[in-house]
Amino acid sequence: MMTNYNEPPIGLLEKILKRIHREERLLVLRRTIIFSTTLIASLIAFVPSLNILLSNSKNSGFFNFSSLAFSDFSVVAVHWQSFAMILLETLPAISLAIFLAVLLTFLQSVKSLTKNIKTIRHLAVN
Amino acid sequence: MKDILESKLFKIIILSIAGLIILGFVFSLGVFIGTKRAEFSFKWASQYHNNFAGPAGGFLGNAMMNEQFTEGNGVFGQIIKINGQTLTIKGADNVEKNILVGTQTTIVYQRKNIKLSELTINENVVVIGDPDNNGQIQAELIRVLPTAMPKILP
Repeated sequence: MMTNYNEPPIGLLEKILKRIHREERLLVLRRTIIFSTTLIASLIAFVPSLNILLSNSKNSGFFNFSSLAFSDFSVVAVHWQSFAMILLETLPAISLAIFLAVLLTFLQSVKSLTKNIKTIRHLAVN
Repeated sequence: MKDILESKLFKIIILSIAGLIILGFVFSLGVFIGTKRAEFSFKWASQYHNNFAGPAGGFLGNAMMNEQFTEGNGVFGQIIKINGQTLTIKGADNVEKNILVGTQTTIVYQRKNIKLSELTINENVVVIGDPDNNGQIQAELIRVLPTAMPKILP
């Protein structure tokens, strides 16, 4: 008995590779758009979040109290419990967390974008 | 640039920032819950006479109570009154606090320790201390902030 195997069409492998290549490029493009957007958004949010943090720190007296560590270190060291308590009481935790979140987004976006640009260059060469 | 972004130090920085964010939010949540509980306890105590017993106006009358929670371990603001060993300071949050000055209190102006008698009204100070049961602060350190007009020391 003879088994008749169908031969794959000529150029199928090339077509598949081309498609994979195209999908890869699309994926990289999508990622680049997403990371560029988050980078721009974090850059825009950076200044206002920093301003809010500085303003809250100033209004709550956090700067005034923390400056005592530099101006009166020996006295502060003796009364460190009260000093630590007042720093915690006046710490603008929410605005600090928001500022750090913006900073984290910015750094991660820069990292991911750089990685993506490298991939784009690699794909362009091939 | 690429090397920096892929270095171990960069990863540590990213992880530290992420850790600080989590810590910040957890701390804020703790403060929020603590404040809510304190607020309820405060209202429960102030309304006890209405809810359970006592005159309608309360034992202290209908004195307006500030519902804002203020710091107990320090204050920064302007001296508005000096009465013996007690200073009244109006803080940046417009809350007046009595500061008790004792023998253990250090009062510093620039690089010099000064006496209580050398303090004057309208001077800006930063105080750290311990809160007592009477809602006053036992001062441990009073730092006099420099003003446009320098203080003349004896």
